[in-house]
Amino acid sequence: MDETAPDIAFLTPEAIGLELPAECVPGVDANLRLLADHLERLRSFDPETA
Amino acid sequence: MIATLAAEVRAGRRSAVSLAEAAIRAIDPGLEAVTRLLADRALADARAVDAKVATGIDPGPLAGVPFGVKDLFDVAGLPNTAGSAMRRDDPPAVRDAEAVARLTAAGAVLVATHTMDEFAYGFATINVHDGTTRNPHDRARLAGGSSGGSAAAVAAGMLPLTLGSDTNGSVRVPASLCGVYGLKPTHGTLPMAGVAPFVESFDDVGPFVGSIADLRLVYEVLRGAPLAPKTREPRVARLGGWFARNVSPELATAIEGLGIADSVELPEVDRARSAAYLMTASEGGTLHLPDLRRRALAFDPQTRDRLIAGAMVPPEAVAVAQRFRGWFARQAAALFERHDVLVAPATGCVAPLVEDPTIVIDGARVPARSHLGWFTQPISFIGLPVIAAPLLRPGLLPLGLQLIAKPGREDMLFAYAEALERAGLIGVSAPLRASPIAL
Repeated sequence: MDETAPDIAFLTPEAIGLELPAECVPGVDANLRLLADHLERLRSFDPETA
Repeated sequence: MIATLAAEVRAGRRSAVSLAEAAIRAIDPGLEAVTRLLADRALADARAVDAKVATGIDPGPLAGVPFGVKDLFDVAGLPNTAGSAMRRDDPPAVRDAEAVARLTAAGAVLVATHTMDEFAYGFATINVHDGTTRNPHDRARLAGGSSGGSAAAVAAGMLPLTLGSDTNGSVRVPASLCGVYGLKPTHGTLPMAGVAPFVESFDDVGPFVGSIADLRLVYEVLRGAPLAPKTREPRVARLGGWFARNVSPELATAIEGLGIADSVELPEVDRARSAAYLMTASEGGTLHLPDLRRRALAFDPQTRDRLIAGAMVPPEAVAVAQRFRGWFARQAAALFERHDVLVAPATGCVAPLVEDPTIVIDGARVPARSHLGWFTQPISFIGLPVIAAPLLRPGLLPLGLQLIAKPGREDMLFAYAEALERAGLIGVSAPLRASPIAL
Protein backbone atom coordinates (compact mmCIF):
# COMPACT_ATOMS: atom_id res chain seq x y z
CA MET A 1 0.00 0.00 0.00
CA ASP A 2 1.20 3.48 -0.78
CA GLU A 3 1.21 5.10 2.67
CA THR A 4 1.43 8.53 1.08
CA ALA A 5 -1.73 8.05 -0.97
CA PRO A 6 -4.42 10.57 -0.04
CA ASP A 7 -7.62 9.35 1.57
CA ILE A 8 -10.49 8.76 -0.80
CA ALA A 9 -13.67 10.30 0.59
CA PHE A 10 -17.12 9.14 -0.43
CA LEU A 11 -19.35 11.77 -1.97
CA THR A 12 -22.15 13.38 0.02
CA PRO A 13 -25.84 13.31 -0.95
CA GLU A 14 -25.58 17.03 -1.69
CA ALA A 15 -22.65 16.44 -4.01
CA ILE A 16 -24.71 14.04 -6.12
CA GLY A 17 -27.77 16.30 -6.06
CA LEU A 18 -29.82 14.04 -3.84
CA GLU A 19 -32.07 15.04 -0.97
CA LEU A 20 -31.72 11.90 1.13
CA PRO A 21 -35.09 10.79 2.58
CA ALA A 22 -34.84 10.07 6.31
CA GLU A 23 -35.97 6.46 5.89
CA CYS A 24 -33.00 5.82 3.61
CA VAL A 25 -30.33 6.97 6.06
CA PRO A 26 -29.75 3.71 8.02
CA GLY A 27 -29.63 1.57 4.90
CA VAL A 28 -27.41 3.95 2.99
CA ASP A 29 -25.02 4.27 5.94
CA ALA A 30 -24.76 0.49 6.24
CA ASN A 31 -24.02 0.18 2.54
CA LEU A 32 -21.45 2.96 2.67
CA ARG A 33 -19.61 1.14 5.48
CA LEU A 34 -19.58 -1.99 3.36
CA LEU A 35 -18.24 -0.11 0.34
CA ALA A 36 -15.61 1.59 2.47
CA ASP A 37 -14.41 -1.84 3.64
CA HIS A 38 -14.14 -3.00 0.04
CA LEU A 39 -12.22 0.13 -0.92
CA GLU A 40 -9.84 -0.26 2.00
CA ARG A 41 -9.18 -3.87 1.01
CA LEU A 42 -8.29 -2.73 -2.49
CA ARG A 43 -6.12 0.19 -1.38
CA SER A 44 -4.04 -2.12 0.80
CA PHE A 45 -3.11 -4.16 -2.27
CA ASP A 46 0.53 -4.23 -3.23
CA PRO A 47 1.22 -6.11 -6.48
CA GLU A 48 4.85 -6.44 -5.47
CA THR A 49 3.98 -8.62 -2.50
CA ALA A 50 0.90 -10.37 -3.92
CA MET B 1 -35.18 -31.80 -25.66
CA ILE B 2 -35.20 -28.51 -27.58
CA ALA B 3 -33.80 -30.04 -30.76
CA THR B 4 -36.31 -32.89 -30.49
CA LEU B 5 -39.24 -30.52 -30.02
CA ALA B 6 -38.12 -28.42 -32.98
CA ALA B 7 -37.61 -31.52 -35.14
CA GLU B 8 -41.15 -32.66 -34.37
CA VAL B 9 -42.52 -29.27 -35.39
CA ARG B 10 -40.37 -29.02 -38.52
CA ALA B 11 -41.53 -32.48 -39.61
CA GLY B 12 -45.17 -31.57 -39.04
CA ARG B 13 -45.62 -34.27 -36.40
CA ARG B 14 -46.42 -31.76 -33.69
CA SER B 15 -47.81 -28.26 -34.04
CA ALA B 16 -46.18 -25.15 -32.61
CA VAL B 17 -49.65 -24.12 -31.42
CA SER B 18 -49.94 -27.29 -29.34
CA LEU B 19 -46.56 -26.56 -27.74
CA ALA B 20 -47.53 -22.96 -27.00
CA GLU B 21 -50.84 -24.09 -25.49
CA ALA B 22 -49.05 -26.66 -23.34
CA ALA B 23 -46.57 -24.03 -22.16
CA ILE B 24 -49.37 -21.61 -21.30
CA ARG B 25 -51.13 -24.33 -19.30
CA ALA B 26 -47.87 -25.19 -17.55
CA ILE B 27 -47.41 -21.73 -16.04
CA ASP B 28 -47.53 -22.17 -12.27
CA PRO B 29 -48.46 -18.91 -10.53
CA GLY B 30 -47.44 -20.39 -7.18
CA LEU B 31 -43.77 -20.19 -8.12
CA GLU B 32 -43.99 -16.43 -8.70
CA ALA B 33 -41.66 -16.90 -11.64
CA VAL B 34 -43.79 -15.24 -14.32
CA THR B 35 -44.62 -11.55 -14.45
CA ARG B 36 -46.46 -11.40 -17.78
CA LEU B 37 -48.06 -14.25 -19.71
CA LEU B 38 -48.01 -13.37 -23.42
CA ALA B 39 -50.66 -15.86 -24.55
CA ASP B 40 -52.01 -13.90 -27.52
CA ARG B 41 -48.58 -13.22 -28.93
CA ALA B 42 -47.44 -16.80 -28.33
CA LEU B 43 -50.41 -18.32 -30.12
CA ALA B 44 -50.10 -15.89 -33.05
CA ASP B 45 -46.37 -16.60 -33.42
CA ALA B 46 -46.98 -20.33 -33.11
CA ARG B 47 -49.62 -20.21 -35.85
CA ALA B 48 -47.08 -18.43 -38.07
CA VAL B 49 -44.56 -21.21 -37.44
CA ASP B 50 -47.15 -23.85 -38.31
CA ALA B 51 -48.09 -21.95 -41.47
CA LYS B 52 -44.46 -22.03 -42.59
CA VAL B 53 -44.29 -25.77 -42.04
CA ALA B 54 -47.53 -26.24 -43.97
CA THR B 55 -46.12 -24.40 -46.97
CA GLY B 56 -42.75 -26.17 -46.93
CA ILE B 57 -40.73 -23.35 -45.39
CA ASP B 58 -38.30 -24.35 -42.63
CA PRO B 59 -39.08 -22.19 -39.57
CA GLY B 60 -35.58 -22.74 -38.16
CA PRO B 61 -33.70 -24.82 -35.61
CA LEU B 62 -35.91 -23.68 -32.72
CA ALA B 63 -39.20 -24.20 -34.57
CA GLY B 64 -42.09 -23.87 -32.16
CA VAL B 65 -39.92 -24.01 -29.01
CA PRO B 66 -41.67 -21.98 -26.28
CA PHE B 67 -39.41 -19.64 -24.32
CA GLY B 68 -39.46 -16.86 -21.75
CA VAL B 69 -37.27 -13.87 -20.92
CA LYS B 70 -36.21 -12.07 -17.77
CA ASP B 71 -38.21 -8.91 -17.27
CA LEU B 72 -35.41 -6.68 -18.57
CA PHE B 73 -35.55 -7.67 -22.25
CA ASP B 74 -37.47 -5.40 -24.61
CA VAL B 75 -40.63 -7.09 -25.84
CA ALA B 76 -42.39 -5.20 -28.63
CA GLY B 77 -45.54 -3.52 -27.37
CA LEU B 78 -44.72 -3.79 -23.67
CA PRO B 79 -42.83 -1.53 -21.26
CA ASN B 80 -39.47 -2.89 -20.14
CA THR B 81 -39.86 -2.81 -16.36
CA ALA B 82 -36.48 -4.26 -15.32
CA GLY B 83 -38.39 -5.64 -12.35
CA SER B 84 -39.52 -2.27 -11.04
CA ALA B 85 -43.06 -1.00 -10.51
CA MET B 86 -41.94 2.52 -11.42
CA ARG B 87 -41.36 1.37 -15.02
CA ARG B 88 -44.76 -0.23 -15.56
CA ASP B 89 -46.14 2.88 -17.23
CA ASP B 90 -43.11 3.52 -19.41
CA PRO B 91 -43.67 3.70 -23.18
CA PRO B 92 -43.80 0.26 -24.79
CA ALA B 93 -40.77 -1.11 -26.58
CA VAL B 94 -40.91 -0.59 -30.33
CA ARG B 95 -39.20 -3.89 -31.12
CA ASP B 96 -37.92 -7.00 -29.42
CA ALA B 97 -34.45 -7.06 -27.91
CA GLU B 98 -31.92 -8.42 -30.38
CA ALA B 99 -31.44 -11.67 -28.44
CA VAL B 100 -35.21 -12.23 -28.46
CA ALA B 101 -35.33 -11.42 -32.17
CA ARG B 102 -32.62 -14.00 -32.89
CA LEU B 103 -34.50 -16.72 -31.05
CA THR B 104 -37.81 -15.91 -32.74
CA ALA B 105 -36.11 -15.71 -36.14
CA ALA B 106 -35.01 -19.30 -35.47
CA GLY B 107 -38.63 -20.28 -34.88
CA ALA B 108 -38.89 -19.99 -31.08
CA VAL B 109 -42.14 -18.68 -29.58
CA LEU B 110 -42.08 -16.14 -26.74
CA VAL B 111 -44.57 -17.06 -24.01
CA ALA B 112 -43.73 -15.13 -20.84
CA THR B 113 -41.55 -12.65 -18.98
CA HIS B 114 -39.95 -13.59 -15.69
CA THR B 115 -39.45 -12.29 -12.17
CA MET B 116 -36.11 -10.74 -11.20
CA ASP B 117 -34.54 -8.68 -8.45
CA GLU B 118 -35.38 -5.04 -9.04
CA PHE B 119 -32.96 -3.64 -11.62
CA ALA B 120 -31.02 -6.94 -11.37
CA TYR B 121 -29.37 -5.80 -8.11
CA GLY B 122 -29.47 -8.99 -6.03
CA PHE B 123 -28.83 -12.73 -5.99
CA ALA B 124 -32.17 -13.79 -4.48
CA THR B 125 -35.14 -12.76 -6.70
CA ILE B 126 -36.87 -11.20 -3.75
CA ASN B 127 -38.91 -8.50 -5.46
CA VAL B 128 -41.14 -6.25 -3.41
CA HIS B 129 -43.27 -5.50 -6.48
CA ASP B 130 -43.51 -8.89 -8.25
CA GLY B 131 -42.96 -11.37 -5.42
CA THR B 132 -40.29 -13.84 -4.35
CA THR B 133 -39.62 -16.59 -6.85
CA ARG B 134 -39.85 -20.03 -5.24
CA ASN B 135 -37.43 -22.85 -5.93
CA PRO B 136 -39.25 -25.63 -7.83
CA HIS B 137 -37.27 -28.26 -5.88
CA ASP B 138 -38.54 -26.90 -2.56
CA ARG B 139 -40.95 -24.00 -2.51
CA ALA B 140 -39.80 -22.99 0.93
CA ARG B 141 -36.47 -22.00 -0.64
CA LEU B 142 -35.17 -19.22 -2.84
CA ALA B 143 -34.53 -19.69 -6.55
CA GLY B 144 -31.48 -17.42 -6.50
CA GLY B 145 -31.13 -14.34 -8.62
CA SER B 146 -31.28 -12.01 -10.18
CA SER B 147 -32.64 -14.13 -13.06
CA GLY B 148 -34.51 -16.39 -10.63
CA GLY B 149 -37.82 -16.46 -12.49
CA SER B 150 -36.10 -17.56 -15.70
CA ALA B 151 -34.19 -20.37 -13.94
CA ALA B 152 -37.22 -21.55 -11.98
CA ALA B 153 -39.37 -21.68 -15.12
CA VAL B 154 -36.96 -24.14 -16.75
CA ALA B 155 -36.41 -26.14 -13.55
CA ALA B 156 -40.16 -26.52 -13.09
CA GLY B 157 -40.67 -27.68 -16.66
CA MET B 158 -42.82 -24.69 -17.51
CA LEU B 159 -40.57 -23.79 -20.43
CA PRO B 160 -37.62 -25.58 -22.05
CA LEU B 161 -35.71 -22.34 -22.63
CA THR B 162 -35.47 -18.94 -20.99
CA LEU B 163 -33.11 -15.98 -21.17
CA GLY B 164 -31.57 -14.16 -18.24
CA SER B 165 -28.75 -11.72 -17.75
CA ASP B 166 -25.58 -12.08 -15.71
CA THR B 167 -23.62 -9.18 -14.26
CA ASN B 168 -22.01 -10.72 -11.18
CA GLY B 169 -23.60 -14.17 -11.23
CA SER B 170 -27.26 -13.58 -12.06
CA VAL B 171 -27.43 -16.55 -14.46
CA ARG B 172 -24.96 -18.81 -12.63
CA VAL B 173 -26.40 -18.46 -9.11
CA PRO B 174 -30.03 -19.31 -9.97
CA ALA B 175 -28.89 -22.03 -12.38
CA SER B 176 -27.00 -23.63 -9.49
CA LEU B 177 -29.80 -23.34 -6.95
CA CYS B 178 -32.51 -24.49 -9.39
CA GLY B 179 -30.45 -27.30 -10.93
CA VAL B 180 -30.42 -26.26 -14.59
CA TYR B 181 -27.77 -25.29 -17.11
CA GLY B 182 -26.88 -21.66 -17.66
CA LEU B 183 -24.35 -19.79 -19.74
CA LYS B 184 -22.52 -16.56 -19.09
CA PRO B 185 -20.71 -15.89 -22.36
CA THR B 186 -17.44 -14.07 -22.87
CA HIS B 187 -18.26 -10.47 -21.94
CA GLY B 188 -19.62 -8.47 -24.84
CA THR B 189 -20.08 -11.34 -27.29
CA LEU B 190 -23.87 -11.78 -27.25
CA PRO B 191 -26.19 -8.95 -28.27
CA MET B 192 -27.25 -6.55 -25.50
CA ALA B 193 -29.42 -4.27 -27.68
CA GLY B 194 -32.81 -3.88 -26.02
CA VAL B 195 -31.66 -5.21 -22.65
CA ALA B 196 -32.04 -2.82 -19.72
CA PRO B 197 -28.50 -2.20 -18.46
CA PHE B 198 -27.31 -2.58 -14.88
CA VAL B 199 -23.50 -2.43 -15.02
CA GLU B 200 -22.32 -2.27 -18.61
CA SER B 201 -18.77 -3.23 -17.60
CA PHE B 202 -20.07 -6.70 -16.69
CA ASP B 203 -23.57 -7.21 -18.16
CA ASP B 204 -24.18 -10.17 -20.49
CA VAL B 205 -27.24 -12.12 -21.61
CA GLY B 206 -27.36 -15.87 -21.11
CA PRO B 207 -29.76 -18.79 -21.56
CA PHE B 208 -31.15 -21.41 -19.15
CA VAL B 209 -31.92 -24.90 -20.48
CA GLY B 210 -32.11 -28.53 -19.39
CA SER B 211 -29.19 -30.18 -21.20
CA ILE B 212 -25.79 -29.35 -22.60
CA ALA B 213 -26.99 -30.15 -26.14
CA ASP B 214 -29.77 -27.60 -25.70
CA LEU B 215 -27.27 -25.06 -24.40
CA ARG B 216 -25.03 -25.52 -27.42
CA LEU B 217 -27.95 -25.19 -29.83
CA VAL B 218 -29.31 -22.03 -28.23
CA TYR B 219 -25.86 -20.47 -27.83
CA GLU B 220 -25.14 -21.02 -31.52
CA VAL B 221 -28.43 -19.39 -32.47
CA LEU B 222 -27.75 -16.42 -30.19
CA ARG B 223 -24.19 -15.89 -31.49
CA GLY B 224 -25.27 -16.49 -35.08
CA ALA B 225 -22.57 -19.05 -35.86
CA PRO B 226 -21.69 -22.62 -34.92
CA LEU B 227 -18.88 -23.35 -32.50
CA ALA B 228 -15.64 -24.62 -33.97
CA PRO B 229 -15.33 -28.42 -33.89
CA LYS B 230 -13.31 -29.89 -31.05
CA THR B 231 -9.64 -30.39 -31.96
CA ARG B 232 -8.33 -31.74 -28.66
CA GLU B 233 -9.41 -32.66 -25.17
CA PRO B 234 -9.57 -29.73 -22.74
CA ARG B 235 -6.95 -29.55 -20.01
CA VAL B 236 -8.85 -29.18 -16.74
CA ALA B 237 -7.97 -28.00 -13.23
CA ARG B 238 -9.90 -27.30 -10.06
CA LEU B 239 -9.73 -23.85 -8.56
CA GLY B 240 -8.54 -24.08 -4.96
CA GLY B 241 -7.99 -21.42 -2.32
CA TRP B 242 -10.95 -19.03 -2.19
CA PHE B 243 -13.02 -21.50 -4.24
CA ALA B 244 -12.40 -24.39 -1.84
CA ARG B 245 -13.42 -22.49 1.29
CA ASN B 246 -17.01 -21.72 2.34
CA VAL B 247 -18.12 -24.79 0.41
CA SER B 248 -20.54 -27.28 1.97
CA PRO B 249 -19.08 -30.75 2.66
CA GLU B 250 -21.43 -32.40 0.14
CA LEU B 251 -20.31 -30.00 -2.58
CA ALA B 252 -16.64 -30.47 -1.74
CA THR B 253 -17.12 -34.23 -1.98
CA ALA B 254 -18.92 -33.90 -5.32
CA ILE B 255 -16.13 -31.77 -6.78
CA GLU B 256 -13.60 -34.27 -5.49
CA GLY B 257 -15.60 -36.96 -7.28
CA LEU B 258 -15.04 -35.31 -10.67
CA GLY B 259 -11.57 -36.86 -10.68
CA ILE B 260 -9.66 -33.72 -11.63
CA ALA B 261 -5.99 -34.22 -10.81
CA ASP B 262 -4.73 -30.65 -11.08
CA SER B 263 -5.56 -27.85 -8.66
CA VAL B 264 -4.58 -24.23 -9.19
CA GLU B 265 -5.17 -20.96 -7.34
CA LEU B 266 -6.14 -17.51 -8.48
CA PRO B 267 -4.49 -14.96 -6.20
CA GLU B 268 -6.28 -12.08 -4.47
CA VAL B 269 -9.82 -13.27 -5.16
CA ASP B 270 -11.13 -11.38 -2.13
CA ARG B 271 -9.88 -8.15 -3.67
CA ALA B 272 -11.37 -9.10 -7.04
CA ARG B 273 -14.75 -9.42 -5.35
CA SER B 274 -14.24 -6.09 -3.62
CA ALA B 275 -13.35 -4.39 -6.88
CA ALA B 276 -16.35 -5.90 -8.65
CA TYR B 277 -18.55 -4.82 -5.75
CA LEU B 278 -17.33 -1.22 -5.95
CA MET B 279 -17.63 -0.96 -9.72
CA THR B 280 -21.11 -2.49 -9.62
CA ALA B 281 -22.27 -0.10 -6.92
CA SER B 282 -20.84 2.92 -8.70
CA GLU B 283 -22.09 2.15 -12.20
CA GLY B 284 -25.49 0.97 -10.98
CA GLY B 285 -25.93 3.96 -8.68
CA THR B 286 -24.90 6.43 -11.34
CA LEU B 287 -27.25 4.84 -13.88
CA HIS B 288 -30.24 5.22 -11.57
CA LEU B 289 -29.30 8.57 -10.04
CA PRO B 290 -31.87 10.60 -12.03
CA ASP B 291 -34.70 8.41 -10.67
CA LEU B 292 -33.18 8.38 -7.17
CA ARG B 293 -33.28 12.19 -7.17
CA ARG B 294 -36.84 12.32 -8.46
CA ARG B 295 -38.63 9.36 -6.83
CA ALA B 296 -36.37 7.48 -4.44
CA LEU B 297 -39.28 6.12 -2.44
CA ALA B 298 -40.66 4.31 -5.50
CA PHE B 299 -37.70 1.88 -5.42
CA ASP B 300 -37.59 -1.38 -3.50
CA PRO B 301 -36.03 -0.06 -0.25
CA GLN B 302 -33.16 -2.55 -0.27
CA THR B 303 -32.29 -1.82 -3.88
CA ARG B 304 -32.63 1.90 -3.31
CA ASP B 305 -30.24 2.11 -0.38
CA ARG B 306 -27.59 0.09 -2.23
CA LEU B 307 -27.95 2.28 -5.32
CA ILE B 308 -27.76 5.53 -3.36
CA ALA B 309 -24.60 4.42 -1.58
CA GLY B 310 -23.19 3.34 -4.94
CA ALA B 311 -23.85 6.76 -6.44
CA MET B 312 -21.70 8.19 -3.64
CA VAL B 313 -18.62 6.17 -4.66
CA PRO B 314 -16.05 8.70 -5.91
CA PRO B 315 -14.30 8.30 -9.29
CA GLU B 316 -10.94 7.78 -7.55
CA ALA B 317 -12.29 4.62 -5.91
CA VAL B 318 -13.51 3.28 -9.23
CA ALA B 319 -10.09 3.98 -10.72
CA VAL B 320 -8.46 1.89 -7.96
CA ALA B 321 -10.83 -0.98 -8.78
CA GLN B 322 -10.18 -0.73 -12.50
CA ARG B 323 -6.40 -0.77 -12.02
CA PHE B 324 -6.75 -3.91 -9.93
CA ARG B 325 -8.93 -5.47 -12.63
CA GLY B 326 -6.11 -5.35 -15.15
CA TRP B 327 -3.71 -7.01 -12.71
CA PHE B 328 -6.23 -9.73 -11.82
CA ALA B 329 -6.98 -10.48 -15.49
CA ARG B 330 -3.28 -11.08 -16.07
CA GLN B 331 -3.16 -13.59 -13.20
CA ALA B 332 -6.09 -15.49 -14.71
CA ALA B 333 -4.51 -15.42 -18.17
CA ALA B 334 -1.40 -17.05 -16.71
CA LEU B 335 -3.50 -19.96 -15.41
CA PHE B 336 -5.01 -20.48 -18.85
CA GLU B 337 -1.58 -21.02 -20.36
CA ARG B 338 -1.63 -24.51 -18.82
CA HIS B 339 -5.33 -25.24 -18.53
CA ASP B 340 -8.35 -24.73 -20.77
CA VAL B 341 -11.11 -25.16 -18.19
CA LEU B 342 -11.11 -24.25 -14.51
CA VAL B 343 -13.76 -25.80 -12.26
CA ALA B 344 -15.22 -23.99 -9.27
CA PRO B 345 -18.46 -23.97 -7.29
CA ALA B 346 -21.25 -21.71 -8.56
CA THR B 347 -22.71 -21.44 -5.07
CA GLY B 348 -21.26 -22.85 -1.88
CA CYS B 349 -24.49 -24.34 -0.58
CA VAL B 350 -28.01 -25.33 -1.56
CA ALA B 351 -30.79 -22.74 -1.85
CA PRO B 352 -31.44 -20.77 1.37
CA LEU B 353 -34.87 -20.72 2.93
CA VAL B 354 -37.21 -17.89 1.94
CA GLU B 355 -37.91 -17.31 5.64
CA ASP B 356 -34.18 -17.11 6.43
CA PRO B 357 -32.51 -15.63 3.33
CA THR B 358 -28.96 -15.90 4.61
CA ILE B 359 -25.86 -17.98 3.93
CA VAL B 360 -22.81 -18.67 6.07
CA ILE B 361 -19.50 -17.12 5.02
CA ASP B 362 -16.43 -17.52 7.22
CA GLY B 363 -18.68 -18.63 10.07
CA ALA B 364 -20.99 -15.61 9.96
CA ARG B 365 -24.55 -15.38 8.66
CA VAL B 366 -24.74 -12.83 5.84
CA PRO B 367 -27.59 -11.78 3.50
CA ALA B 368 -28.07 -14.12 0.55
CA ARG B 369 -29.21 -11.18 -1.55
CA SER B 370 -25.73 -9.66 -1.57
CA HIS B 371 -23.50 -12.70 -0.93
CA LEU B 372 -24.73 -15.61 -3.07
CA GLY B 373 -22.37 -14.36 -5.77
CA TRP B 374 -19.35 -15.11 -3.58
CA PHE B 375 -17.86 -17.48 -6.18
CA THR B 376 -19.29 -15.95 -9.36
CA GLN B 377 -18.53 -12.26 -8.92
CA PRO B 378 -14.72 -12.54 -9.16
CA ILE B 379 -15.02 -14.48 -12.44
CA SER B 380 -17.35 -12.18 -14.38
CA PHE B 381 -15.26 -9.27 -13.06
CA ILE B 382 -12.77 -10.13 -15.81
CA GLY B 383 -15.29 -11.16 -18.46
CA LEU B 384 -14.54 -14.89 -18.57
CA PRO B 385 -17.06 -17.29 -20.17
CA VAL B 386 -18.72 -19.76 -17.80
CA ILE B 387 -21.10 -22.69 -18.12
CA ALA B 388 -23.11 -23.20 -14.96
CA ALA B 389 -23.59 -26.96 -14.78
CA PRO B 390 -25.87 -28.80 -12.32
CA LEU B 391 -24.33 -31.72 -10.45
CA LEU B 392 -26.49 -34.78 -11.01
CA ARG B 393 -28.03 -35.36 -7.58
CA PRO B 394 -31.40 -37.09 -7.92
CA GLY B 395 -33.56 -36.56 -4.88
CA LEU B 396 -31.31 -33.89 -3.41
CA LEU B 397 -31.42 -30.11 -3.58
CA PRO B 398 -29.43 -28.79 -6.54
CA LEU B 399 -25.82 -27.63 -6.47
CA GLY B 400 -23.97 -26.26 -9.46
CA LEU B 401 -20.49 -25.86 -10.83
CA GLN B 402 -18.83 -23.10 -12.78
CA LEU B 403 -16.83 -24.36 -15.78
CA ILE B 404 -14.61 -21.41 -16.68
CA ALA B 405 -12.51 -20.74 -19.78
CA LYS B 406 -10.45 -17.89 -21.12
CA PRO B 407 -12.26 -15.31 -23.25
CA GLY B 408 -13.55 -16.68 -26.53
CA ARG B 409 -13.05 -20.36 -25.66
CA GLU B 410 -16.63 -21.44 -25.07
CA ASP B 411 -15.78 -24.42 -27.29
CA MET B 412 -13.60 -25.82 -24.51
CA LEU B 413 -16.41 -25.37 -21.98
CA PHE B 414 -18.85 -27.29 -24.14
CA ALA B 415 -16.33 -30.07 -24.80
CA TYR B 416 -15.74 -30.60 -21.08
CA ALA B 417 -19.40 -30.22 -20.09
CA GLU B 418 -20.43 -32.77 -22.71
CA ALA B 419 -17.89 -35.23 -21.28
CA LEU B 420 -19.16 -34.68 -17.72
CA GLU B 421 -22.75 -35.16 -18.84
CA ARG B 422 -21.89 -38.36 -20.71
CA ALA B 423 -20.17 -39.61 -17.55
CA GLY B 424 -23.34 -39.00 -15.53
CA LEU B 425 -21.71 -36.39 -13.30
CA ILE B 426 -23.80 -33.40 -14.33
CA GLY B 427 -27.38 -33.12 -15.51
CA VAL B 428 -30.83 -32.09 -14.42
CA SER B 429 -32.95 -33.98 -11.92
CA ALA B 430 -36.67 -33.80 -11.17
CA PRO B 431 -38.81 -31.71 -11.16
CA LEU B 432 -37.81 -30.71 -14.70
CA ARG B 433 -38.40 -34.20 -16.03
CA ALA B 434 -42.05 -33.94 -15.07
CA SER B 435 -42.45 -31.23 -17.71
CA PRO B 436 -45.89 -31.19 -19.32
CA ILE B 437 -44.29 -30.17 -22.62
CA ALA B 438 -41.63 -32.87 -22.62
CA LEU B 439 -41.93 -35.53 -25.27
